[in-house]
Amino acid sequence: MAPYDAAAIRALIEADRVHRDIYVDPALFEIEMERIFGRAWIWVGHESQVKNPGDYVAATIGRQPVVISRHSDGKVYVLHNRCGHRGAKVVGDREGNVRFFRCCYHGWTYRTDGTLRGIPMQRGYEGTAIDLADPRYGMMKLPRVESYRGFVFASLAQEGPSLADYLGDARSSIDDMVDRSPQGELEVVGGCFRVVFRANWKIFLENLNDTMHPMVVHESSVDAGKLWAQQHLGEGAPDPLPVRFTRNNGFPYEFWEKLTLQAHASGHSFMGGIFPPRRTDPVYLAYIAAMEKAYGKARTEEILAVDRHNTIFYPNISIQSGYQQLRNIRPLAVDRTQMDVYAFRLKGAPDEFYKHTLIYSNVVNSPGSIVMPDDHEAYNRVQEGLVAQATPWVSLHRDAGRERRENEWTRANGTSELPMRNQYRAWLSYMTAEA
Amino acid sequence: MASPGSDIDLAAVDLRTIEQFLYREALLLDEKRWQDWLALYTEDCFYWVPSVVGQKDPVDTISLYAEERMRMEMRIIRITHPHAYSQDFPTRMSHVIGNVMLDPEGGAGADGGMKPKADLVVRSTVHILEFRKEEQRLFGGGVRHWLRRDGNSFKIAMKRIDLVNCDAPMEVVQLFL
Repeated sequence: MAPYDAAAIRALIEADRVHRDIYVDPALFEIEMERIFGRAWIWVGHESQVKNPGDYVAATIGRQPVVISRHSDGKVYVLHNRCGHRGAKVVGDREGNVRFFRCCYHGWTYRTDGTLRGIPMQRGYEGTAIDLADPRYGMMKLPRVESYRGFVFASLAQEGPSLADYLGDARSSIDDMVDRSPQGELEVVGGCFRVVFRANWKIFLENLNDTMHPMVVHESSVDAGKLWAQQHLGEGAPDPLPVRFTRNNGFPYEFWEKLTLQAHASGHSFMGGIFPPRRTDPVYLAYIAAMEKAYGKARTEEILAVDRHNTIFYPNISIQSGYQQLRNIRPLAVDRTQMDVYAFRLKGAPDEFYKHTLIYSNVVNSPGSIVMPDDHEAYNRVQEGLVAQATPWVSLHRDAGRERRENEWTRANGTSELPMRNQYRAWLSYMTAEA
Repeated sequence: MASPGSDIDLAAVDLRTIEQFLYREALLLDEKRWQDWLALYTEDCFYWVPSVVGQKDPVDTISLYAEERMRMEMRIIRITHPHAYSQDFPTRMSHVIGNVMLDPEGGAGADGGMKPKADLVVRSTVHILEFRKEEQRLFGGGVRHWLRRDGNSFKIAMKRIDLVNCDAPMEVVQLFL
């Protein structure tokens, strides 16, 4: 396959610009699947999706099918979704509950921890070289699986940093999301949105903490909120949520410039909040009351004072902790990506509160969103434009050299392209690491 | 036979009138006459495209579209905005409406708890051909209209479209279906 040795890969990434081939070359995409999605900690699901023994949900790591299951021992397993016999995908639907998995082809059955349970006419294997106790004849467990506060991560690699080391202090954004529950627990209730765009997965990651795009890309939805408010609301009237979630993207450059961006060595990053989650409507006040009952006034204040917009966990999720959204990136091909978007319920919060979470989902993250189509148009056009051989380099120069290092984090002004440069440092480290 | 909560005698309702009303809605969508289209809806209307088969309600589960009149008006502002980049090449649509029938159950269990004030509920099937840039897509499914009597015609108090592929991975959908 690869004309790419380590030196060739290193030549694609410079401190402040990257080579177009990383977005358009299928050979590099194959290497990414092997070295990034095949090695990193990849978010696969949330424990609440498999509440009871026998519950399962299908997922992917890179392009590899896996299944997350809750076994009778109460533990969560992540298994290769592949029959130990002839290789058929065992779980064919998205989710469900079983006593055991059964392959549709020759009826091999597996316990929900992946171990082989039974084979029809098993005597046919007696005296053959097969060792049915060998885990490779089961649904094989992924080498490493760990959870952090309900978020389940798995890795296809036998060795690598622990989940704690991988998350580093970026886990504080997961804390922010979970701490907002009066019970300290999240729950996926409905399904998820599955949105496809025609661009490389990295283009989406770049956009998440790119604050120079909203006022340009989102002009149409900003005006939708702004004009609607002008036509229907009196002076000083609070914005209804759909208006708030659209018009805030139209804040002036000075607003974005003052936000802080923080980038983590693992490739993670986050930006300061733009839709302050704290409000004064009755639903929110009831929520604060539930929080204060659970945590007391001071701790509640401390929890709600955090305001972060997107936090990226490189390479495959972005969470909006204040609005309980999670976007899961599933690369399909070098120029095609699927994004699964989940909304989480804060356990112990008033029922009405989750309805507000879903207004955010529907306005911002649905395939029918009035905000997202313009993002996707931009991603798709980057993909189309990069085919041009005008120059091989893509600029990431904005505010380069003005970032400052503090402990695990590198910080920069809100309009810096630091998060992107940081993502490519992580990319390079995965792509050139010895297997 | 009266629809629940209504004194309209369904047997006396002229189905042709209802069909023509639905065809007119489809025409206004195809011709993007958004204000005329919106005028078919009541002030307290609700437009719903579930994301789950048999979805029970639009407030506890994500939806492809879950829009009161405010969000419908916002969508129209956006898709007609000169800087809606995703409409640089405008989406085109063609609706075919069929299988129009009065719902003898009056939309029972399908209104997602929105309880629209309606005189009758009409079921139909829609096939929508959509085209933008290089790709033509086909959407289709069952539709329910909750209609409120308005002089000699009707207003739409609620519309629910259950797409056959409501939970499929899909690229963005921008216009009203």
